[in-house]
Amino acid sequence: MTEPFLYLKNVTKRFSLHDRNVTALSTTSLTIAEGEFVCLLGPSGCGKSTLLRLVAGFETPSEGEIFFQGRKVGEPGPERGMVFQDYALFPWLTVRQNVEFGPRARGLKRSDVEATAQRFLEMVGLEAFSDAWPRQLSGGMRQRVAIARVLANDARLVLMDEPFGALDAMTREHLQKELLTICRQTGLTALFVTHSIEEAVMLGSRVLVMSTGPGRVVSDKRIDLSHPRDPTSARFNAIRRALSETLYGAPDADHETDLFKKEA
Amino acid sequence: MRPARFLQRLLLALALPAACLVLWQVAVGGSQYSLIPPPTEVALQWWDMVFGGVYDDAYSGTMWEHSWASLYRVFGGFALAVVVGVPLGMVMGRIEIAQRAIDPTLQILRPIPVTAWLPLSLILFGIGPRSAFFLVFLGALWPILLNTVFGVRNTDPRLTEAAAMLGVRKTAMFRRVVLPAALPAIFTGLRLSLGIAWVVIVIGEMTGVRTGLGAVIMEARQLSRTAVVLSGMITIGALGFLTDYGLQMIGCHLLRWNSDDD
Repeated sequence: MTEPFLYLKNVTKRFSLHDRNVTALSTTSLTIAEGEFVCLLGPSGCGKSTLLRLVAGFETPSEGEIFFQGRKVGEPGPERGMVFQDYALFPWLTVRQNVEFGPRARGLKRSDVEATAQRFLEMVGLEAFSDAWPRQLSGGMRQRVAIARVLANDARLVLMDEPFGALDAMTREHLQKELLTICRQTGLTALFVTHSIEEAVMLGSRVLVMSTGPGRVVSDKRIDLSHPRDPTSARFNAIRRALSETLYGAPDADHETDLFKKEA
Repeated sequence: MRPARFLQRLLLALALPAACLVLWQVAVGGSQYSLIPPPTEVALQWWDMVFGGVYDDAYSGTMWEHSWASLYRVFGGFALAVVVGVPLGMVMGRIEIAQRAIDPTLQILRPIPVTAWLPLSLILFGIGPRSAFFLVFLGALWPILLNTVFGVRNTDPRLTEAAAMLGVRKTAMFRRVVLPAALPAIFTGLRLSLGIAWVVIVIGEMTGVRTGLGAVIMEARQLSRTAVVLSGMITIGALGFLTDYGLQMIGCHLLRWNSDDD
């Protein structure tokens, strides 16, 4: 098969807002290969979440087409699993039932459903909490459930919309490491939206920098650092600086790069 | 510790009614020809109506019969309101055009008091229990309907997105996501409606039925048997309290994922 894993062909998205047409994503073409960890980096309003929602099938492109494994994307589907920033767990189901939700909705055999749920609960380290309600869990644990939920549903591509944005720094670091391990174990492809440069460099095998007015991809960089990545290393910081310059322009007029100088 | 705390709560809850009883006794106890009987007399009357053996008149031992009749009508009307209100509320909450077509009519019907419906109800359903059912149904419908619409409308769109992403088809979305998400609001509606059903039962039993707590109150009023009236009132209060408690227990179990205490 030579068809690309994910292919966006001249995709544009416009919204009408108070009788005004707003271009959320101007014409974008993009190819993502299987196994890539692609970070979408940019300020709010750059269309990164829109791009993610288009791939998920929650929105339809105003122009252009999206192909996933050669098939045109029309509706949301289990092969493209979404992990939301606010978790979006079903509060009336226990942790285990949340993970079982997808396979069960698709009518899989009960014994298979249970085995799959057990496997992914163990993978995210939550088997001890499988009978708890989501409200009883911390934010980090809830996000683990959300990840297990899409993995248990045979997602080939995970779409993550600032999944660790609401978590404290230590939990975030921990989950980043776990996510990388899971991706390596399962050969998962990820499209990961973030506004943190450090997070993008930490996780991505490729970083797409996006810009506002109208939303578009302005830079496409491959990151060849091996894992685990050391955020204090010179190469890590060189990449971070380069991305920061792409994002914010001239280095001296800008708060983010000032911060880097102090650290250096 | 636990029994002691329960006792403390019980004493605190009983303090106010006990004070009211004392006040009542003091206020009417002294005068010879009070229109309101003292609580001791009401207590005796209530006992006689429940167990008999005190006055042995037409009311002795009839409380059970009247209570069953009222319970039957309250739950009958309430069940009708649930059967109509929940599905209608879900349709209105989910389908914009249904909401626009139905809501204005409902908003005009809603302020009309149940008492105003009484004459029409007697014409439509005749004198008897069917009118009582209808009136209780009318009173109980609104809270269930409005809360169901509210619950369905307030379903977090993230949850339906998440379910769609996990492979739930549009036809199953209702049962798997919208209904459970709306359940807390629906239950609030159920509790309000059951309360109103008890409020409406006295009007509902002004339809010429011969049994029921409302009927017994209206009849005793004409005979100036105020102690019987008060006994009926107390029984309605107690049954309303107990049925609400039962409903709350069911709610606590169904909505245990939603409770604040762990």
